[in-house]
Amino acid sequence: MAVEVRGVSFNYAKIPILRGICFHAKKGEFFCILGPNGSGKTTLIKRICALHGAQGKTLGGSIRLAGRPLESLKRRDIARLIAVVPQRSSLPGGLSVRETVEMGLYAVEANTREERAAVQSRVDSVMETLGLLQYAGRDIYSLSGGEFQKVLLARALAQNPEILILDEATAHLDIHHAIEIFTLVKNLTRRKALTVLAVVHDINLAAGFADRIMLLDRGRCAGTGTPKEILTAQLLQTVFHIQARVLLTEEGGIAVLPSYPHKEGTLWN
Amino acid sequence: MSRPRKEAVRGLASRQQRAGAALLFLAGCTAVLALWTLGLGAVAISPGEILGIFGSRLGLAATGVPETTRLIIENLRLPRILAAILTGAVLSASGTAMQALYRNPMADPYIIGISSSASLGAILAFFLNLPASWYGLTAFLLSLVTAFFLYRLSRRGRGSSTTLLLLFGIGVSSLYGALGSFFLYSAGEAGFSVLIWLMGSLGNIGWEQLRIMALPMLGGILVLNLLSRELNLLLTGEEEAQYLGMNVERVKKILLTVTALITALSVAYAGIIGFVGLVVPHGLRLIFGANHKRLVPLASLGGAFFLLLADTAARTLIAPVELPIGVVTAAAGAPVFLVLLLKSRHAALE
Repeated sequence: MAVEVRGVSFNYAKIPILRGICFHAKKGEFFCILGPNGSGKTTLIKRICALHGAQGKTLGGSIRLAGRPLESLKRRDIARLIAVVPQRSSLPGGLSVRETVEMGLYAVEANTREERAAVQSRVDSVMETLGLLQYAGRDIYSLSGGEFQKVLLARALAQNPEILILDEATAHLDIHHAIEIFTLVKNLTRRKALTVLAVVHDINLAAGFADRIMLLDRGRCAGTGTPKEILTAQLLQTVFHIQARVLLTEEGGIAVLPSYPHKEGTLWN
Repeated sequence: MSRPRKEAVRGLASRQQRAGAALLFLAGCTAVLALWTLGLGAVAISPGEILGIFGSRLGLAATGVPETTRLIIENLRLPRILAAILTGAVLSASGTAMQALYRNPMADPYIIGISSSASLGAILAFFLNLPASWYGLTAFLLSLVTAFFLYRLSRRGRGSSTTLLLLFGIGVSSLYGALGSFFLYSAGEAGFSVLIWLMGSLGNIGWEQLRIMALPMLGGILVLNLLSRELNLLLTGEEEAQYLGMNVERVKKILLTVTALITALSVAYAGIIGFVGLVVPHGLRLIFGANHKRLVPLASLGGAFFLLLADTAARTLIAPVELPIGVVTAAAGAPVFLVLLLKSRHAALE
């Protein structure tokens, strides 16, 4: 099991954020953590990466990464297993694309000349896959939002992780760039058996890409399963407080179509 | 290798080559300036004579340089020039480190309270009639205590701890400044000499002081250079740095200790010299980018050159009167700084 979370509860400044979260993600699985704002998605990700925050308190539960208990892992060990693509980065300009991608090598061990050459060629191939080679020398400040997000993805992949976390990584991108990044990552789950934990609040993105989804509702798990099992009108009503129709697509997937309160004759009335 | 790849790699290589060339250039300039400025002063001494003195020291040649000339060079001007080089490198390198740690181009050891605690420490040593060699020690101890007090305080709060650290630093700075002023005013006449020293001067530094300063300063600069990857990661924010595998708290502790040590020593023996830690790293960042593998060595050498130049101006511009070096660094640094800011299209200011 790549990620195993059992009964994790967490308080921040004495306010309960997570309550008894249990889930696991298998090797090569694209696992989505779906929930509205404030449901505890990002907190859960931070717990999995052993980031506490000054007033955070974990109340029991256990987390295992690639079969190893999280407490037994040092910061560097964790970075060798898990890489995170954040929603935004506060990186200022002044670094080139390649320099930024190479930040991902911090935790990577490369002592001999052969190892270093292998690491460099991995950086090359990651950048090639993401179409970043032509930008290698450019200042990251000059990139568009979509390009910059790809640089952050490349940096995470340069860590050569077993588990990749997308923490709302495409939340501020247009739908084309969001789908492009998710597709690139989806291919990696197939080609390299990369495990992906994707935190999203876009229901249709989760529906389109996830092998399984965990729905979070105010710090509790409201259900885990395939998109068809989880994305039901009833659960969406409970968790997101929306009226929605769930449609079957021609390719056998599903799509969620919310209805809007200002339109007459919709489900809201 | 595909064509775009080649071009991209070449683009990056040229940036590195440019930085390498700049390093050599700065080193050369510093050496030439040092040689020239050794000859400047009440007694003018030619570069030939200076080289002769060094040559005879190395046993290369006997020279006909008079003994007094040799003493002026070896005991008066040489320690001062070495101190200018060291102090400049220290201030600029610690400024670079603090700007990365606080992710704020306005940060330097002077703003976050390290230097004000160092000067209060040195003032205390002065009033306790401790020997001059103690100034550095008391300055270091007080700034180390302050740095870690601020560090602990900032960890207790919520939100961005670096912003808190910066704000606490500003608060503590003011408090220490007030305490220092109180001591100085209550001392009357004797306080005046301290006030002069606080304005910044390299004139009091002889071999005795240099012996105390040199090793820790060189060591500190070396450590900051070795931490260039960590400084790069700090730019991306503490959370992301941890995701990338860095033990952020440990790195912060090392950075604060090293910076407290070398800044305290420079304040204790050279007084408060502003602007070097701000202008030099910032200017170099605008030209060569924010990668600390290049920036820290460039800033170290650039600071050395800048302060040597400023000290030369301070002691020659209105000779025989000596200007406080802080006046020169601000007068020369500020316009350059403004021009750089106006010309830059970088986001380094974000």
